[in-house]
Amino acid sequence: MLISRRQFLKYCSIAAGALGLTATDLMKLEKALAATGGLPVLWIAGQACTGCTTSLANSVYYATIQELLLLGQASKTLELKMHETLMAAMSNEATQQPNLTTSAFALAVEGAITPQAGYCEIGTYTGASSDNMSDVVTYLAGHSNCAAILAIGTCASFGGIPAAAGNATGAKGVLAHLGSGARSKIINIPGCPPNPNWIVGTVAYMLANSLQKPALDALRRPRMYYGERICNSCDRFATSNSGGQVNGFVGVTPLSPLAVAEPERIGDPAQNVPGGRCLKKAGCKGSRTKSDCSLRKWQSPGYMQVGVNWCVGAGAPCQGCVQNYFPDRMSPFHYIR
Amino acid sequence: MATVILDPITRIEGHLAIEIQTDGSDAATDVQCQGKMFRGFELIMANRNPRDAVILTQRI
Repeated sequence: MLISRRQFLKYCSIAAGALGLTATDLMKLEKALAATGGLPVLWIAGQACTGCTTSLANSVYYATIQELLLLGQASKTLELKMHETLMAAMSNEATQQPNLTTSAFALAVEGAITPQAGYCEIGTYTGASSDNMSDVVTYLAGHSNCAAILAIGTCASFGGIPAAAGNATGAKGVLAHLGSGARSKIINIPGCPPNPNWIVGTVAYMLANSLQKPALDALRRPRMYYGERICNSCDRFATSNSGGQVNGFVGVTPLSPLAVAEPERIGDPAQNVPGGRCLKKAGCKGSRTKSDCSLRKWQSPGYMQVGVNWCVGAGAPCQGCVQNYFPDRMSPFHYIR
Repeated sequence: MATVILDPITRIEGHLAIEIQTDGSDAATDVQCQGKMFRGFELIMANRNPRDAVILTQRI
């Protein structure tokens, strides 16, 4: 994690403006990430698709996943003490580690929580023969060493797809499950999946600020990542009011069951529309969605580097996956003309 | 006759438990596995705009 002064200045210029971080914040962050003995994170998954884990494994921007997992190394940043999908231990060796809850830890919850017994059992944390996810969350969240609860992904934050209309399990998010008594401990990091930088950055921020939470919005999301509407910095926004919008996807015919976008209308810089045309009429939910996707982008290629591309950049309308009413009130995702 | 329960199985996507019955001499006589999580995507898909299915089912 050691970087040269020259590199550091470069990161500042690229990152500070984009993230709304001051140089002081960045320095604190760097200090926290270089420190040994990070905050232990217990990551448990309920009704999840493991997409959030896959996204975390794509972490490069602040720290790579190797650095997150190399316990006892100087580069250690967050200590993922428990993570079903990534850890080598299994069965009781994993869930009943003697030091699991002996020091302050952050509880990371991936996936929705069903209150119905038997719909999601995840092993033996509390000593029962097999625990329901809802019992484990209640147990760990109520533990005196639990410093914070990170609801990772839209399912854990707001219920997400498992809680969509028609579901049979009564799935809900962490806040809905634990009730308002736990509200002050909870940080929601929604997204389907959330950007790895939002997850790692939030924990790093807390490390840099003696476990203080970052400023949160009404949905308890860190403002530094979910502060601005996507349109505000979207490359396609310039065409939104000038009649240059994409008119929607080409209709579906029986012979061509997939909706296909007209390539010349989706546009790219080669079509004399820098960044391409606005996708609002194709179903883009950017105007109702607050995140820094349009600045941060995805698949960051290296340390402190802006990502390669993002949904709207690739011609796919924003689905609004970080909002609390995803997916039901974001439907339909594509408008067909 | 002894029972070995492995729950959770780690390094996989989802929640899996394996129950092994042994005859007492390290030989397994019966093995059962359970997928332990249910979301009901089929039920969520019902009465929905069919074009949304591609967005929702990719998250299974």
